[in-house]
Amino acid sequence: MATPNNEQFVGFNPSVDLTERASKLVNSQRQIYTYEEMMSGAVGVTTLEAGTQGQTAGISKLAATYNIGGIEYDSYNLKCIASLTPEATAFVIAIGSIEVGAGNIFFISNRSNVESVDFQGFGGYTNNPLNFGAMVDNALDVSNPNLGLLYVNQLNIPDFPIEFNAMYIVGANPTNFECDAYIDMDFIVSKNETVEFTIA
Amino acid sequence: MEETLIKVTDVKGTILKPIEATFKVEYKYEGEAVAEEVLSGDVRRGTVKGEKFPVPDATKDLEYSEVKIDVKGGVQNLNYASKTLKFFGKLPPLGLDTGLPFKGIIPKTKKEKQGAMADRRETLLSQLKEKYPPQKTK
Repeated sequence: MATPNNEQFVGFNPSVDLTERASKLVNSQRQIYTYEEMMSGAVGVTTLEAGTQGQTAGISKLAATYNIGGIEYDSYNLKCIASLTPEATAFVIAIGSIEVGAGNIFFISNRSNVESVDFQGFGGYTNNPLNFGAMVDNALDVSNPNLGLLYVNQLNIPDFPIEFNAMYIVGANPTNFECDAYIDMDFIVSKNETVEFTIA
Repeated sequence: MEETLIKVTDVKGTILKPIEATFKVEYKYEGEAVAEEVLSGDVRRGTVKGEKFPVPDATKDLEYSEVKIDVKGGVQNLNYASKTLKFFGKLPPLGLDTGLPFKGIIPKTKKEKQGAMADRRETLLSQLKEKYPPQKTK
């Protein structure tokens, strides 16, 4: 199927009020998305920039907005791909910083994944949500559950303004381990505030 | 019901959740030499919660109420200044935004931001290595 352009998809000018059968709503009372907005909200189109620790990361604005108790928020997606290698007991990967014009940021969704090799175990690769207990591998290419720490850290650097949020991947295990991390998290900020990402 | 009495914010209204600070609420009555402390404690996660500000003594005239936020020192604490807010003839409003002035560095360059992130990374990695000592690779 050919990709429709925005006008073809919406089919009419959103500034014109129309009613549909069996509905008393007019367009001005609906949220109308363009095709581009809908697709970006669904798949999170993100350009990932290369960083200083071999990671690639970036943010993108999503189509969804939220009204929480009368306060409106825009939503954004953070993505990062990083290898926690060579094997060690502890890793800290700096992803980058998210700076907002004003207000706190709230992470409302986390779909981050950890991939490891299990060639000498049950075969293939393991994929688990990034968390304590996720499968991580070692130099023998065998995956085992992480028994230490595995999380994404959002940190306010003491000397910087509160609106500067540094993001890290943190991993630790009693024995050496390695894995690949695919960060995919959504966050919300006050509507119309500026949001700037700086790769670490 | 528990309400947010005080929100410890910066001048933009962002709640300073990680800040280490104490608070004090005082009432000063007409004709009295010193203000009376009516509430005090630690700021927890950037807020002070409670049912309401204490009711002033009805037999006296309230000259002013005062909210003092005292930010603790230390390199790990957020770099904001302490502040006192006065309300003449009335109590502080519920959910008061304190608007603490920022005393730290506003990073301007990419290098500056990357440097600060790298410093913190090193600190955290050192702490992790103490708890999870490095092992020899097989």
